[in-house]
Parts: sequence; structure tokens; C-alpha cells
Amino acid sequence: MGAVREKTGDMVISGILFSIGVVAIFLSRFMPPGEFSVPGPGFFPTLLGTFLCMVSGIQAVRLVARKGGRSVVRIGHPHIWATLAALLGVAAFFETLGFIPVIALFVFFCLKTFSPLHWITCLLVAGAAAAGAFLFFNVLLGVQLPPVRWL
Amino acid sequence: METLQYLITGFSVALTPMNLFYCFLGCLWGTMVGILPGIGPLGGIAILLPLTFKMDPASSIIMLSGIFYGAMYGGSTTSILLNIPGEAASIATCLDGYQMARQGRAGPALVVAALGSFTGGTISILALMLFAPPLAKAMLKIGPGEEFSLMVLALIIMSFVSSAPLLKTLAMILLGLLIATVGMDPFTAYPRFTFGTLGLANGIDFVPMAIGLFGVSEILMNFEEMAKVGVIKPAFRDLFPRWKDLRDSLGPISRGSVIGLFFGFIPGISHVVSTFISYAVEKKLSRHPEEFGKGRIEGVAGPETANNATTGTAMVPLLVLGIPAIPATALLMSALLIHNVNPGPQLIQDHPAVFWGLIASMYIGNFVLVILNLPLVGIFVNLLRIPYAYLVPSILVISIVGVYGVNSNPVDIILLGFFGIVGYVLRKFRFDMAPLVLALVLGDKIEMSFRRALTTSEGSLWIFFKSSFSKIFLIAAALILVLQLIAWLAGFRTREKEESP
Repeated sequence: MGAVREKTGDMVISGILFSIGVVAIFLSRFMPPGEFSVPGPGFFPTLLGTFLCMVSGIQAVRLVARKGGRSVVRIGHPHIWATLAALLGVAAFFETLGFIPVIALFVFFCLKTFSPLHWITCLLVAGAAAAGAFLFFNVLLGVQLPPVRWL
Repeated sequence: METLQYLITGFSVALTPMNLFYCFLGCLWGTMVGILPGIGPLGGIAILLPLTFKMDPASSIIMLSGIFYGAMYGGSTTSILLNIPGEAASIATCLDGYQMARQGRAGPALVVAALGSFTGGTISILALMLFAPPLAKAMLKIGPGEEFSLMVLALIIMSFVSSAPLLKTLAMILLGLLIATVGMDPFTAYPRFTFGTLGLANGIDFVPMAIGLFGVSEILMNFEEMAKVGVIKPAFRDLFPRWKDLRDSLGPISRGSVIGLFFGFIPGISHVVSTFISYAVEKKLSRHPEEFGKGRIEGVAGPETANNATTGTAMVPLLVLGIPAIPATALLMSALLIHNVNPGPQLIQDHPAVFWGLIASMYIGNFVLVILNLPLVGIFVNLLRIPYAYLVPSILVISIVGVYGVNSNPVDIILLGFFGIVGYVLRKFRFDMAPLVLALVLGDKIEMSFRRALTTSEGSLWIFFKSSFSKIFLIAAALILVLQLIAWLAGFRTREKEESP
């Protein structure tokens, strides 16, 4: 797990928010601004972008001016990356392989990564969970889920 | 008499087998969410939100509000048995509830908490039923200028009550309002920030964003704190309080009801505020204030009643004004909007089945929750024995199904992960997600009111100061903002003084 100085993290986030504001103002230039009595589509985004730039700019200046600020934020537990990778895998194969196999693999991966269970136990629980989830969501609640395509 | 007739109509909607099932499901999930420290009411509502899209509007709001008030009930269980508040509004209950449990009096604490919650909940539903219709009639007279001023006030109050620093909260509000502009312009259908893609024509999908920012980010945060805890588990025969406990609880329950009712009406005031005020009042009025924090039953009865009394009246701004007063009701609002039901003064007129069905289901839900939280408390408490590592996959699977079920688009699962990591990073650096979501939900309405008001007044800003309502809302918003700025400047100067050599 990494550590980032809180001041650095705040500066980065303020910079990102400032950039979002600048982009919003820039792109709004291409939208019809209308008139003050009949504001057009570009009016409100320009206003919001300007305020966002102001607020994040003030925050950034305040951070630069502030002395000290050595507090550290611990960020990035290994399980976080595992979770995100698993979600990416689900998105990639969800419609190719179908709900039950993908969710079974997902649950197996999560249990094996997060818990001390034996791999056979993980496999059994994953299979049951996937089948149970399909019955509950697809059959009982009527949520449309991708079927198993490769059978 | 008219109200009674409407209520009977409401019960005819709420007592259908499917709506009873949804009410039960919402209360059950809400209780679990309240008990499990790893997920809060916002995450709980966000995760089940997409599953309600296929339901009719009444069923959808019945289930989601069941989660909302169910979580308030469930939160007290872990506060009393574990000294861990299941959700923020149960913090006050920890102070005396856990001490009572350590003294072998967990049962009376749980019973009094449940009775207080039931009483507070019932009274707040009564208040909602009695005040909402006449308030809605009065609000029909407000125009776009007053609407805009009221929504600005709601956002400013949110910035005031947020736990995050002022500038960060304002940044989140502005970001939420900006994200809400993505998609087609509501007046001219001009595409804004769509980059030529059809996918963004309807804006950034709310569901993966809400579930990612609240549900997934909570899971990512909790990875750092995964630990098993010891649980005090009372037997059913130990649940019964003494007559003295019930007598001592009567006053706090009455006072807690009034406090919760009052604060529920005020937009932006969360349950946490009303519970702490109730606790402070009980301590002040008690003949033994020195015993508070050591197991006084008044310290459980008052806050738990206030907590649940806030729930019903917190729905009034949403249902009557169309303004979500607290983040949970912002999610309820998004559910209504997705079903093309516009919350606001016209709701009771245009969709009486939704409004009165909700009221009736809240009465039913209140009874369901007493049953779930008393005789079945042992079952729910066993949930806490399940290591968090085993709960994570189930919560994520529900989230995946939820986001995929909306558009059948796997890209939404990627967005879920993306917003999860965004929420995690922002929360790590003390940015509050609630103002972002509130602003996102209100964004379209604020812009439409603003532009409509300017069009009506032909560009004159005096429209926002013409009516008394609008003046009051804007002056209140300005006052709160000025007070915050003064406090912020004073804090800034103090910090500078401390850090100078």
C-alpha cells in the first residue's frame, strides 16, 4: 500500500477539477450562448465551469500558501487492484461467456484473493452463488442477463 | 375524512402481494444494510436502485424507502451489541446502548430502541400524511424563481452540514451540476459534451455512478479495515425490559419524536443531527446526567426515536417540493424520475397511487421492522460473524447485476469500477460524495428553473427577489454562505498563525 502526502493529493485533485472547469468553458464556446433574457445551451456550463475554476483555483492557491502539511494518506490496498481487475474481466467476458460462468469465476477469484478458503471450497461456493444469483435475479426479479452462449 | 379515503386507497395499493413482498424485501435489505458496518443506507439504496426499473413507480418507491427507514432500525442493533454504529445516525445509541449490553441488559436496550423507532416512525408518517397535501397545494403557487432559490438553498445547506471542508464541498457541488449538463439541452435538445457519441446523448448514466461512488468505493475503503469482531448475542428470553425501563423511556420517546419531526422538515439536516440533539436534551433533563454514557436507557430511547421520526418528515421536501433534503432522498428522487414521476407539488395530484401507496407501505413497513428487529435479532446478529471478505463478492455481484440490468451494456460495469476508484480516491482526501450526487440529481431542475425564470422576466434578475418566498430562501442561503466563509477565513488565519516560525 502506498502513501501520498495529503497536500500533494489535494493539489492533484484541485488541478484536475480546475482542468475540468477549463475544458467546460472551452467546449461551451462552441455552443450557442443565447442572450441573458433567453439563455442558450452554452450559458449554464460556462457559468459552472467558471465557478469550478475559481473554487479549485482558490483551493490550489491556499494549499501552496499553507506551510507544513506533512500528513500522509495511505492509498492503494492490493485487494483494490484485484477488485478492479476482476470487474474489468467481468465486463470483457460477460456477454461472450454468459452470466453464470463469468460470475462463478468472479466469485471464485474474489474468495481466493480475499479469504483463506481452500480452492475447492471457493469453487463450490462460486458455482452455487452464480446459480443462485441467476435464479434470483433472472427468474424471480426478471432482470435480463446474458445466457451461457458456448453450450 | 378525505385523508382517510386517500389512505384507504393507499392501503389498497400497498397491500397487493407484490408490493407487500417489495416492502418486506426493502425492510430486510435495509435492516441488513443498517447492521453491516461495511455498507451504508446510500450504498444499499444505490445497489438495488436499478432492480426497481422494471417495477411500477409505486412498487419501486415502496421498496427503496423500505431500505431507507429499515437501515435506521438496523443501525441500532450493532450500536448496542458491538459498539459499532451500523450507520452514522446510530452513533448516539452506541454511547449508552453498548454499556447496557455489557451490563447484561442488551435485551431491554434492543426492545426500547425498537419501540422508540416504531413510535418515531409512526408519528413521522402521520406528519407526512397530514402536512404534505396542504403544503403541496401551497407550493403549486411557486414559480421558477422560487424553485431556483429553494434548490440553491438546499445545496448551500448541504455544503454547511457536509463533513468535508467548505471548498471541497463547493467543488463537488459544482462538479455534480456540470456533469448534469452532459447530454441534450432540456430546452433546445442541443447536444452538450457528447463528443458526437450516442452513448452520452442521454447524459452520464446515474446508476453506475451512484453505485460506484457509494457502494463500490465503500468496499474499497473497507479493505483496509477488514477485521472480525466479538458479538454480544442476547437470547430471546432476555429481550424483555422491566416495567421501570418502559416508564423511563416514555418521556424520551415523546421528546425524541418532536425533535426528529422538527429537524426532518429542514432540508439538509440529517438524522445524525437530530439524534445528538435528542441525546443532549435527555442528558440535560435527566436527574442523573452523570450516568449518561454508562448505560442509561434514556440515552437509547430518545436518539433512536428521533432518528426514525426524522425519516418520514425528511420525505416531505422530496415529495412536496421535489427537492431531496438529504442524500438518501436524492436517490429516491432519481428512482421516481426514471419512472417519469416528477416529485413536487403535482405529485399528489398526478400520481396519488404513488404518494398514498408509499404512506400506507411505510405504516406496514414499520410493523415489519419491529418483527425483524426483535424476535429475529439473533439471525441478523449472526450476519456480523460472516467475515467481510465473504460479503464483498455478494455485494459486488448485486452491483454488477444492477448496472448491467439497466442498459444491458457491459461498458457500465467498467464505469462502475471507474466511479468506484474515483469515489475511493476522493473520499481518501476528504471529499464528500453526497453533495456531488445531490447536485447531479438537482442539476437539470436548477438549470431549467433558472433559464425559465430569466425568460419570464426578460433577463431581469429581480425575478429572484420579487416574491417573499424567494427572498427568504436566497437571504437564508447567503447568510449560511457568509457564516461559513467567516468560519473558514478564521480557521485559515488560525492555521497560518500556528505554522509561522
